[in-house]
Amino acid sequence: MIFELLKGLNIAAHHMVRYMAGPGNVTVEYPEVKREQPPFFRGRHRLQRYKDGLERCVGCALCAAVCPSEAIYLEAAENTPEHRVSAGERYAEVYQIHLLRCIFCGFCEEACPENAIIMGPSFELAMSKRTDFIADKGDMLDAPEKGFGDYHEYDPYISHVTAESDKKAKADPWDKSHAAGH
Amino acid sequence: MADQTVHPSLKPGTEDIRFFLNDREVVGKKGETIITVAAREGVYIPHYCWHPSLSVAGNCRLCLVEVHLPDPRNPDAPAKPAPKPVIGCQTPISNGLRVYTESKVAQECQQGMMEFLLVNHPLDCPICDRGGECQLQRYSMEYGAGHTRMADEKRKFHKPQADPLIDIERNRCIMCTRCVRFNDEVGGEHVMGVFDRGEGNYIGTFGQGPVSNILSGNIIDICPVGCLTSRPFRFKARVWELAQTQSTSIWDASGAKVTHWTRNRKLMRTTPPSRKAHDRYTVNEDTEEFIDNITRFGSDFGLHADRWDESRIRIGGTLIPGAFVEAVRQAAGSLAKTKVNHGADSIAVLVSPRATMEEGFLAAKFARTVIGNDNVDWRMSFATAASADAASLAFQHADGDLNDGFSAVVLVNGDYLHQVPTFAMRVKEYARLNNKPVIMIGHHHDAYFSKCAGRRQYGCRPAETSRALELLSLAIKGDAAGNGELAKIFSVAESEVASLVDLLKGVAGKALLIQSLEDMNGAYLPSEVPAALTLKAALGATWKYIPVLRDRNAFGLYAVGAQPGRLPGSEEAVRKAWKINEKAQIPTAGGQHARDLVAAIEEGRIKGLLALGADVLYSYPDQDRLLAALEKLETFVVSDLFNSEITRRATVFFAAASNLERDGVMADLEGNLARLKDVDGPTGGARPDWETLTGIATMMGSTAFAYESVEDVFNEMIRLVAPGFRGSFTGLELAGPANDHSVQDPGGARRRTPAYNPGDYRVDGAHLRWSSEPFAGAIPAVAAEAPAAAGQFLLTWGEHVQGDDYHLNHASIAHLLKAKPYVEVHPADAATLALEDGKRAVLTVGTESIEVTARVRKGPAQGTLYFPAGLGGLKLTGLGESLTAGLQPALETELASV
Repeated sequence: MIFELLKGLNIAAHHMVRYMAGPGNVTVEYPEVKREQPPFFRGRHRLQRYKDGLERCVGCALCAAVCPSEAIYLEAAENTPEHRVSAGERYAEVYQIHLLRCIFCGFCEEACPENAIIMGPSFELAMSKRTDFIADKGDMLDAPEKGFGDYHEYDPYISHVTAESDKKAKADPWDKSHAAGH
Repeated sequence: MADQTVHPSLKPGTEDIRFFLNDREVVGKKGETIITVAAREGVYIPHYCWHPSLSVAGNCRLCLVEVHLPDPRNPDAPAKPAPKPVIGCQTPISNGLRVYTESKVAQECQQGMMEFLLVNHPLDCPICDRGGECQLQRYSMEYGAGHTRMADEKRKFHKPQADPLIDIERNRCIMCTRCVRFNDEVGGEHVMGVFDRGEGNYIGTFGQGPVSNILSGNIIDICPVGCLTSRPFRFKARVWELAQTQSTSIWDASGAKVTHWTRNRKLMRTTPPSRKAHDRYTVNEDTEEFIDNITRFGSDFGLHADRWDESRIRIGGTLIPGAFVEAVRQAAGSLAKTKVNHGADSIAVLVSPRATMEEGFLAAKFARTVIGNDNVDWRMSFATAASADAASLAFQHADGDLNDGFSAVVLVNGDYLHQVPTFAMRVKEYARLNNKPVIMIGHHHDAYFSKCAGRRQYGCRPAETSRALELLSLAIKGDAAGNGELAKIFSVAESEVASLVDLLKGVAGKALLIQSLEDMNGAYLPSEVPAALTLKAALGATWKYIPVLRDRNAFGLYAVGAQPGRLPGSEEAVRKAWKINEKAQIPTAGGQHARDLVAAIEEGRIKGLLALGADVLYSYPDQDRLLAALEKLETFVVSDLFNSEITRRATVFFAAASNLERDGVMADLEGNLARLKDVDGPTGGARPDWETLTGIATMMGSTAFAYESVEDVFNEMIRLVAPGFRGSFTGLELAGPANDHSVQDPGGARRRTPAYNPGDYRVDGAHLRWSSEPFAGAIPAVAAEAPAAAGQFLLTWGEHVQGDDYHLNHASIAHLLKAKPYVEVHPADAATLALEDGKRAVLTVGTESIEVTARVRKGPAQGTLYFPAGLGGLKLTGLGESLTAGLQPALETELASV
């Protein structure tokens, strides 16, 4: 009996050591370690800027129009020479996304004619108050200190799936090694 | 430019033409063009520059169609294809013609033209306010190639800041010239044009000036692209986000229909009705139902910061906000107390001329049943009580309807474009396009009609108008003895008078006699109205009469008996409806005229006043005297929107519902009903006036005010006012998309409804009509005019819708909507003064003087000036007595300071 118990513990210990140290582990030490997301990952929304600091968003409200869960609210205003916010005549004075309504479908970034809104890699969406889930421009707009450098070109037509990776994925659904970004 | 007199939809010939439209045989009238017949037959031909209200320009070339022509020498041979496709908007139909609108050639043409028009188009749809309702977008999807071959840099223009209301973005323009033609033909002002040639071709205003006519806002709607957009609406919302409410204007007594576009229940813009079958969510760029700028840009006054949206009760000298029920109790209590202390006749009820018919009806009922007197009125702005009664006499005989068309029109006095803008537009357009004679008689002629080819002007002094009309009616009856005097009054040759008489006698078919009741606050109406009615009787039964008053619902308030001496229906019917027993008397005599109300308060005869709307009090010319009188009242209950000089003197204030918050029916000056529809319920503690009156009446012990909705009031009212009415309250609501976004017609541009038909708005039995008896009363004489001092002119004036107005003053862009002061001068007087058109001058009335622009035109008679009252802050407090004014050209030094 003891032998069987030790045999079982040995298997457990073997797996424990293997997954703790070995290369094939599937879990990470979140929150200390955060897994890098694939480029097409649809996380929390980001509003991008041009390199000169102007907002890309021109407040056209196509994202709000296409949003299936009506999560986007937008009020536009006119740029003036004294107060220039975006590159065009128009900018979004109020831009809010209700993250509890959002289903992260990505239609907004697909509809955006200016590549202003993209869905970033951030997946940490837990908050303690319901009002915090209404993300406004301050929450989403790229901060100036980031240097506006990491401009993300959204292209819905780029496929990360090849015939080979597709075949592999179908053979072993648990194997993530074929996914782009890994 | 094309033949200005041919209007495709209004002037077809009589001869039938048979031709083939996409291999289907159709019948049209001679003179019609392919596009109008196709629209009627349900075949849609894409177009930019063609508009049903405007002349044909033929410059967008998008309506190119393939035609096959029959061989005239051999009619049996098959029709041969024409060497080139032709434009549908300018090609008249002919017998045996075969038109193909969707053939390969036609499609290639459409695709090619779309590519050509888009060569220089910036494609900035995301920032363009037209995006979503743009014809360029629509046609690109429907008829375009879907891709561009344009690789070079696009043409760019600088952006002018010409007009504060209209944004001109020339890069987007496709040179359809609709705006140019609209201002020339409909707006009556040649102010826009096409400048430069070739690639540098652009649209603009002369001298970078504004498009200042009162109908200018319509070029925003009829622009098929985003070149002309609304400045007040700029970037406020995208069009697909807006909900629509079909309602009517509260400014324009012509009864203009409007669509209010709201987002989150807030008014974003107002446009003509958006009645399009093919696309429910966009403005109709082919609209023929134009609206004036006040209606378009001023309808948001209910959002003003001075709005009081809670009931208030005066406690210890201050108005304290309180609950509606508390205010009702207070108002009922103090009115009852005044009635007990000073008698029923000490209370008066005033109704705003912008109140709905339901509100007027309840006010009339309230005065007659609850208070027990005849003191209910709306006619505060008239010069005298006699002129108010004359206006009522005019309404009694009103029987004309412009929708029926006319073969001649006589206009007596009036500044129609600035008092009833869309009515003036309809009269002028009909006369201009059909070449009908326009005969203008009186001391002021509207220069707006100068584009009508059949125009004849007979000017006279204000005091002579009634005599002229009287002599004219005698001449028409065959008594030519007065022709000499008439020629002297008009300062023309006697032969010209004879030719006028012949012209009027020779008019066959329906004709209209239109009389303005506005001039000089109606000072001359007591003799002018009987004179006009005598003329109408002399002219015969085919002549119909339309009195014109600027007040939006004047006709409706007259109908419902909201004035002394008039009940909404026959006495028996009223007795039955109001549950008054047979022994009791319905008070219909001895009522207090609103005009004399201030004097009555000063004399202490009126102690209590219930006013529905402070605007009726604001229309009293002498405001200082009025405000002093209001202080003397024991009870002053007012239901209004704003914190103003008048409402601050109230003992009980009721927060009324604004034009966007109340529901009801209004009558235009032709007596046709239109529904004022609420966008949403009242804000805050505001209540519509029918609820307030119902509450006060019930609290005062009446059982006849058991209404649950405004529809109940309407049903009781309409049975008395128009027993023949066969519609319903909801049936009066205008056809148009309802307030929901759920149903979408999956865009069939080809399934478009044909153009505007005035008959669409007609409801069986909804015309308010009373008397068909010819007028046979006497014409009172007019006191002789006192001779003006040397260098002085007799001042004639009329109200101006862009002037000092209680509601307009509270619009968000009131400062942009107000007209700049001007004075109209006769060319002969201008010559003696050395004044030129458009030059600055100083107008002096009494001790006040203001700087005005001189407009030299044959509007006023020689020796008189016409000044639109309320402009430039010059108050004309004179109540009807003749005023004289001095006019001097402004000095050069003064010019520099302007």
